[in-house]
Amino acid sequence: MNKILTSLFFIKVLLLSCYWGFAQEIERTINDTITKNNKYGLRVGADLARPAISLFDENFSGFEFMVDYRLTHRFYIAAEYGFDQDNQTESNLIASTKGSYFKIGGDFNAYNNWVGMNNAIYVGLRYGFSTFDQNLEEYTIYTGDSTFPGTMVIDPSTYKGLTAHWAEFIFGIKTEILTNLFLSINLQLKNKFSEDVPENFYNLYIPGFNKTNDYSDFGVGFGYGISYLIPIYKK
Amino acid sequence: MLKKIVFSALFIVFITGCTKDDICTEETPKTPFLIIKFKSKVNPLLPKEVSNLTVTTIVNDENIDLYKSETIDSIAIPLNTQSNTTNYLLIKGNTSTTDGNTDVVTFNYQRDNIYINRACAFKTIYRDLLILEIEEDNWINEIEINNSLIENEQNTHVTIFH
Repeated sequence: MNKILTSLFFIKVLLLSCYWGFAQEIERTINDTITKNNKYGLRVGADLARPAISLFDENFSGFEFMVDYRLTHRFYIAAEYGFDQDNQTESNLIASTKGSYFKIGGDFNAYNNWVGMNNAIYVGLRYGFSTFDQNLEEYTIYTGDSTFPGTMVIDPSTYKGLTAHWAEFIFGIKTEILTNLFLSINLQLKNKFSEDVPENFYNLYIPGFNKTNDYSDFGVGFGYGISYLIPIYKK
Repeated sequence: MLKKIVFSALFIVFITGCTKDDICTEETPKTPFLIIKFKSKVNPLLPKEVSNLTVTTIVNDENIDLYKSETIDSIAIPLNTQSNTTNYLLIKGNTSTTDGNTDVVTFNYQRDNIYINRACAFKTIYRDLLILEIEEDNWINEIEINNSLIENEQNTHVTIFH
């Protein structure tokens, strides 16, 4: 009889995994004794992808710190701070960008954990802000003509104190690999809504936003993070 | 609902992953050519063809013909993007048997480099165009500057009456 009840419960949990609120209710009524098994606390970490890329790509160096704090069963407030230096060696121009960024927002964990586990499949939203400098080193004049073909013009100019603002959608997975130690991977889709465009030039790269596109305000990114949970209380 | 959001977000990521701004396409407005129209000195409103016109410039001691013995009433010629002066030899009646009448025309201007986009980088536009004509025995009667700012190829910049 017990076996049948247990398997029925599992089937129910699986079927109703979309309706997490309902599923949770069942969990609570059946398992009275394990209600204080969810850890709440501050999770601090760093992005592993940026330093890894810095090692292999001489045109990039960057670092990012990340922090989140669990507010409710499923909601976390989250923030990231980082700095990037990126050289753009395009076929017709050479430029570089250097600056830092700050992102703040929240994550929503859509994953129904088994009792005692702390994994996450989450979606998040961020507001991103960056301050940076751009350097234009050299460029080619596009003449499209063989009589006076385009030549490289070495004309260094610096655009300091530029800013950019964007909104970001994040989709990611977090796994607890050791007690309180988490690995995470995420994809970021960004849409910039405001930026200082340098006169007679363009922001080819924005720290935190990454490479810009001439034809749209979209940007993409990914993160591969390691973080540690400092437990504060259980609920 | 959540799944829909996630999948559409991933879809946009993959779409924008292939950007078209890495290639400088032919249609991109580039450094403009100088547009010259030829008109009659008798009736200044009337376009007039120049017979067997050869247009030549000298780059690094080498003669480059942009037009060779063509009978036309307008030309489009590039200006040097590295110098504030470009010289052109406008030769009328140049055929395989006759040299024709050569007029040397000097174009002086100021240059501004204007950012286009990531792939094409910059183009040059020219302003404050001034024209000097050196030759004595001219077939050109008068040169009129219609537009001293050369930023596109939509309008005539210079009219030559002959």
